[in-house]
Amino acid sequence: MTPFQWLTLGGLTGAVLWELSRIVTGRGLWRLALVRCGVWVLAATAIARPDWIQTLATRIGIHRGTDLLVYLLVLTFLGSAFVFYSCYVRLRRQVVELVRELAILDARRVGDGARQSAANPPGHDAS
Amino acid sequence: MSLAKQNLAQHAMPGATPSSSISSGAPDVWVVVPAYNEALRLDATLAALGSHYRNVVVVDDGSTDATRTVAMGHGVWHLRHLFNCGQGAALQTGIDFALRQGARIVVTFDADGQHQVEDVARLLAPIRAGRADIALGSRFLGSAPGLPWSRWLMLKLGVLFTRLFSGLPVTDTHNGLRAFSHDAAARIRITLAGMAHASEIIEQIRQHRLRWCEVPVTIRYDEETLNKGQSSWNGLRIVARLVMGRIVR
Repeated sequence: MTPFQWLTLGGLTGAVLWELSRIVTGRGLWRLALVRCGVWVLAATAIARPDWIQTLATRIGIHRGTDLLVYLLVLTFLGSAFVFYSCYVRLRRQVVELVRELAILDARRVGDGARQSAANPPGHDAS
Repeated sequence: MSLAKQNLAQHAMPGATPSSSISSGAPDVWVVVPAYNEALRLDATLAALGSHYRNVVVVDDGSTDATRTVAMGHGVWHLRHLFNCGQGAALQTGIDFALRQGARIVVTFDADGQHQVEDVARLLAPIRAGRADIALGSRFLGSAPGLPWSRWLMLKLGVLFTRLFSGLPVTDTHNGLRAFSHDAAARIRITLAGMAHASEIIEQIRQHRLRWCEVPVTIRYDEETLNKGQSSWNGLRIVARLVMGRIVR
């Protein structure tokens, strides 16, 4: 094994152990931790056995293992970008809804020397 | 006559005549005016509207100029977004407010002085007569003095896109002059905050199977309004937002 493999496999093993400890102790969402665990294990496998990636790439007709990794990275990036953009759009809609509601609650009309609010119209006795 | 032209003839009402007696000071009509940094032009717009309609709502969409001061000076309802949310959001705010105040008809009217107050009565007529739930103003059935060819082309492309997108044979998509019955205003929800709301409204007319018609109106262009208007790039952004708005629910 190369020094790079030792270093990254050590780090990934630590990450897997940390995720497992979170699952065992019930901290956070166990399903998400399990998904992350799967990603770390896959990454560790790809680093430890690059020949497996090469074999897989050849079998599905890509030929080069590095090309397979590049394709997977591009697809993952596009998917992530879409997920984050969707989150942004939904969050913005919620913020706009909040701003709109605040505007309605704070509606004002000034005229003929009187100030009128939608929440407290003229003639309304607050007492 | 092509199918599109037949549909157009069915929905358009060029013969509709203004009836100022119907609308003068009409307490059940609420006019919503979205405004963003329109202090210079809002004064004239509100002065014209104020002489015909008593219920005018200015939705200040996070303006940084004196829009608020101008609106307050006219004794109209003033609602303020804390930051600029886009014209679609401003319209929805004004419509929601008008409905809560008991509006029976809601009219949307641009703040920049392009619209003519006299046209509002034309829009109200089919709603009051029960012939339509929504009346859409159309500059291409009416007139648009000063409309440059580049803007004409952009608007026509927008109309084509909306026709393909919604299936409704409209002649003018991005026209801010519209009238909604209470029921129609309550059913339509504008979720696209920016300028894409115009196409969204047309799409929702089809979804909710609302009765609609187009009414000839006049849109006047001058240098100021053209400078503030939509650029060709904004047209592309509108299309992108419309598509993304469909994907992200």
